[in-house]
Amino acid sequence: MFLTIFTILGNLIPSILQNRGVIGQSTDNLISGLLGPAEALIAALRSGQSKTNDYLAVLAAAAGVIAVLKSTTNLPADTLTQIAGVDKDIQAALAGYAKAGAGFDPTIYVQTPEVV
Amino acid sequence: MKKVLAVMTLCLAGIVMAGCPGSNPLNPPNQAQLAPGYRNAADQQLGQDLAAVSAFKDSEVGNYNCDASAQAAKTCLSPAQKAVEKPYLNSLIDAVNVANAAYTAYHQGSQTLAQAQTAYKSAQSAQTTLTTNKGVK
Repeated sequence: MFLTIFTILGNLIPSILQNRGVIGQSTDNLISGLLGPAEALIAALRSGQSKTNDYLAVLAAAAGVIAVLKSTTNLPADTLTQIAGVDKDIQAALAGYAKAGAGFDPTIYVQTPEVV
Repeated sequence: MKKVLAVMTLCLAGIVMAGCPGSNPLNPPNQAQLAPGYRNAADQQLGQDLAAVSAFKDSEVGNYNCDASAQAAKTCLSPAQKAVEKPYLNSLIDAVNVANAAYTAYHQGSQTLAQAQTAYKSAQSAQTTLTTNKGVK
């Protein structure tokens, strides 16, 4: 599940960072500082050469980047909505994982109709 | 900067709590630590993994339909975003429905773990496809 979240962020963050021209140098530096160490950790995770602390560090870095991006109000409105939406989705996923960890709950695994 | 660090600290605290036995893929539940209602460790692990994907899907459906939760979080999709996202979101919904049915059947003993895991991987793949094609620019 955590690797899924990394994959989501891995897909999302580069496209967001294409807006580097509008996010400002200090924010850019902050994001680079947060993501830099995480890249090596993600590589370790993917290779299986990882420790629990690596997961925690990467998730902390990802949470930090999302927090920075959400506070970067001069990004396009659509982009900010997407960032906030993915943040909400990830928080929901973590909460769902924890809820199922408390015990089997059949109401989690119900059928959902398609959106129209 | 202080605000960012405070948020990161809070997130890290939450993540550390999530590192308890049974809630982390590096620390999977063993038979003695099984949560109530699960048949075995594999049942619980798959149940938790699928619950995460299912909750992600529910949250995104809320963003699409602009439900109360999305309105509060200001995450309602614009008409243009909805048009881009709709086919990928429906693919995720369909894949999660299949995975939910397969997992429930496995949990009840009428399907194999491999069948349920295959359906889960399809749902995970649909989730990645959705986020890749969300149209963030």
